[in-house]
Amino acid sequence: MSSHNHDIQASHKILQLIERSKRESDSFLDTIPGIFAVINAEGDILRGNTSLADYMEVDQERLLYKNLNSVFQKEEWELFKLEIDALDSKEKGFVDFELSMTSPKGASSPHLWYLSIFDEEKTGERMFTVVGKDISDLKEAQQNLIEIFSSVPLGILTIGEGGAIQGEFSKYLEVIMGTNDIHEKKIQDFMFSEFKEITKQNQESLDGLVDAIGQNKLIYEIISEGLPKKVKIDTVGEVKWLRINYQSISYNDIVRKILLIVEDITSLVKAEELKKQNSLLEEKSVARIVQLKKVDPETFRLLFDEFNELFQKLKKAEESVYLGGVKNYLHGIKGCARVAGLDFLAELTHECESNVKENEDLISKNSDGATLTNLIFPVIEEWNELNDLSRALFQSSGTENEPSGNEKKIEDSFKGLFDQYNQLLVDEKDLHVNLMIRKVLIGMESLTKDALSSLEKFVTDTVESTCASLDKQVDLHLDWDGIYADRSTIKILKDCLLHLITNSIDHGIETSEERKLSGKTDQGNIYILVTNDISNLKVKFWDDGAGVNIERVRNIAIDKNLVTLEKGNSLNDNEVIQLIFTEGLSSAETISMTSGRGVGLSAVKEEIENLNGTIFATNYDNTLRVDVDIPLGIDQNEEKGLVDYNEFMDDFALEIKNLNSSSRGIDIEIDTALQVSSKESTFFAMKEMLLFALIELIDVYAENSKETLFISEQNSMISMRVKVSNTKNIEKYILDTCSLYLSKHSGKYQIIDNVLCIDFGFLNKKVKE
Amino acid sequence: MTEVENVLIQIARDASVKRLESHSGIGDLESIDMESGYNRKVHANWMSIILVSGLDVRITFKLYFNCIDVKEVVQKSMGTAVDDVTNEFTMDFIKEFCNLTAGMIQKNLATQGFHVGISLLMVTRGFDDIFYEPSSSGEVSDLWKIKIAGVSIICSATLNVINAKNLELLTLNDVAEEEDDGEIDFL
Repeated sequence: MSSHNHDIQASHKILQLIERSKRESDSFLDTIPGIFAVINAEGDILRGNTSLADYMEVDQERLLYKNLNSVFQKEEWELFKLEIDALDSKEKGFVDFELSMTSPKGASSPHLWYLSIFDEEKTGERMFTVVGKDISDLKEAQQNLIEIFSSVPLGILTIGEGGAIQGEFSKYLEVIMGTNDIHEKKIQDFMFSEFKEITKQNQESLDGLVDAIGQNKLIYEIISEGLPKKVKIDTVGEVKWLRINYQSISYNDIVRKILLIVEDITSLVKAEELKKQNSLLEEKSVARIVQLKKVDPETFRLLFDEFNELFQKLKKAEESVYLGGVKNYLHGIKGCARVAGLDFLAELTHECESNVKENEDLISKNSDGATLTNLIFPVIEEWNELNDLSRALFQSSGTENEPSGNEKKIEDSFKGLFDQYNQLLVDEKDLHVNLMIRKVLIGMESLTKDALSSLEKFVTDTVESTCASLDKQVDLHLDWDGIYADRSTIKILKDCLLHLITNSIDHGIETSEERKLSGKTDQGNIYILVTNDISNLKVKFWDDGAGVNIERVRNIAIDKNLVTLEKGNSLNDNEVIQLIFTEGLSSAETISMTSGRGVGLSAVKEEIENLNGTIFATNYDNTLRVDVDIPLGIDQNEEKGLVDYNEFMDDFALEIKNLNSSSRGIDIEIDTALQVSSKESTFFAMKEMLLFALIELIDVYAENSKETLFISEQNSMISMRVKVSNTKNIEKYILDTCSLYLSKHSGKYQIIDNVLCIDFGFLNKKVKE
Repeated sequence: MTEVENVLIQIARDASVKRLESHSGIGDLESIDMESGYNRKVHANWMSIILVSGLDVRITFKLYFNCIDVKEVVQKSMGTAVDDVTNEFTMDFIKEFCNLTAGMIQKNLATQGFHVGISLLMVTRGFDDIFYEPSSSGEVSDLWKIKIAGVSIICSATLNVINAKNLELLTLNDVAEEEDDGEIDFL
């Protein structure tokens, strides 16, 4: 072969390689994923790959001079052509855009297009490279994400350089922020400026957050520590609480974007606040219950009506914007609360008093009822709460005037029995049987009576609590042993003592320092002596305090229009002192933590007078003394027991005689003075009972000895001495049978050296004319 | 177009028709002009290109075809099923045809005393034709279509007459088949 032929072969070989290389390159273009085409200005396909041919459902060789518009809807093709036209104006030489393609079967799929100018200089003709990527999956994923975004109740957004909100954000963000104008907004204006009540550190971190974009992520890490995680915003007039999570999106350690996840936690915050409020309310309720539990139920029942009365008067004064009344009644409520041990109510009322005083001018000038109402509302509300609680706590006791259900049944049963026995008493003529019936009646009657000593705890507690609140020291002296009274009387007495004690400690007895200066003992003293005669319970109450300041009381009464000026100046000292029982009089001129009650004593006086009793105050030896007489009522038995004195002694002597002659071997001697007593005609109360008691006492308990039973009478009091063998049984006997009698008649007994001495007290009752 | 160029074009056309006819064995074919106003830049998916060149003239002969169409011709020529005709076989068919056409042109000129050589053949994408730049301003091109077996194969001849004077006596010389000895002088 000639060299010429060798050259030819070599060239042929090269050509083959080039051809193959070209073929591979073309094949590469043909098989690239997505659509590739070169089109002319009219859209004719000059070169297209297999993907395009597949989409157009033609053989790839048939693509030539098919028009690309066949894969677009008419309107879409117009948009495509616009993009082609716009290519010239693009500095970067290409455009990218989204536009859907439509297959011959009508199926539309979103595509991302990339258009560029194809080497016009070399080709001499305007041609374009077209690359299209099916983004159906991406769109579906995006749509799914959007759906998730829409459904998840979170505001999800990203911010990029400059703090602009970029890309997609969750639909719920619009709900949170109350606007749909979000895209491309600056986060500083859109959200951060809405944050309320954030700290300085939070604000500085927010300011630095946007600057952190484009910086190393370490800078973001440092800033993120100070970012607010829980903020309050006020959008479209609605206050919301948001919880915000921040997350940087970094590439190569450089923060490109920041993701914010915003959660509306308003309902959670409100629930927490409500829970907190409820806890506080519960604590308050618990505190109230604890306080109420500490309160003596009797005390509270006693004060209950007074509280109610005071609050009713307070409300009326409030309605009529009567400031004087409001202040008085608040003062009274505070006092009651203090006595009852309701510290919270007392403090609240004190605070209310201060507020009313501060706003006094405003309320007076403008007759501003609304302000007054608002000021006293907390006290009223507190009382309402206490009222409800107290009813629940003290429910079984009922009101102070009405016994509980069980007690009522017992009382009704008793009354029935009483009536039966009383009828028997009338019918029974036999002395001994009569005495036995009386004994039963006395026993029954004793069940409805209480000893006055049952009030001891109450008065002691009252003194203690009042002293504690006023920082005073007072000793209490009680003398009421053996005194009994029915429950209604005891209730009245309780009420009376309560007010007397508190007034005494508050206004009468001085502080320790004041007492020292006056040469008195540090501790003040209160004395309560209770006695009774046949018809009255007599209470003497006095203290060793400063007594009543006559002129001060007079002036206060005049200032408060309780008496006219003329009348006030005309009253004598005793008359002035009686003014302390007038409603509205309180010597407390300034509002302080002491209690000054202007309604208590007047109410007590009213109660006592309603029972035909009396209450009288005097300045006795420069101290206040109050005398109270409470009628006991006439006992039926006493009615029946009224006998003549001389008749009694005749009967008594006869009984003694019978005893002396009995096998008991007792020699009883009666004071002859008794026998010859010729008193004016008087009546014995319960003659038979006394006789029975005496006879039985002698019969059962007198020693078998010839000891003289000495019965004497002095100052209308009969006493008896008898030597007894069993002192224990004697006491029991006396308690069972004679205690009622003794209590009614100021009688008493004592046992000394086995000798019983009974002083039967007042036996006389003057006949009513 | 000058007389010489006209003759040269005719020689090329004549060669393409005769060679296709003999190569395919299909007698029913015709050479027709392109449609009036035809101005496409890309004529078919594939292009076969060969150069016939001498001292006085250069002729670039191109065939533009689609395999899918040529398969019809090949199938008919070979008497096989269309599915049995591969793209490679089709390519070979065209290459052979192109070579034969170039050979006939060479023969024709040689018998008239003009010695030219033939380049190696190359097949490439029809799209690559848009990058073709005329080598000189004197180039003349002709484009025709051979219709055969219901399909069309587009041919083009681009002439670059270097010495027109020498070619004045050139005529359309009808070269008989039997005169074709099958030898091809390569450039």
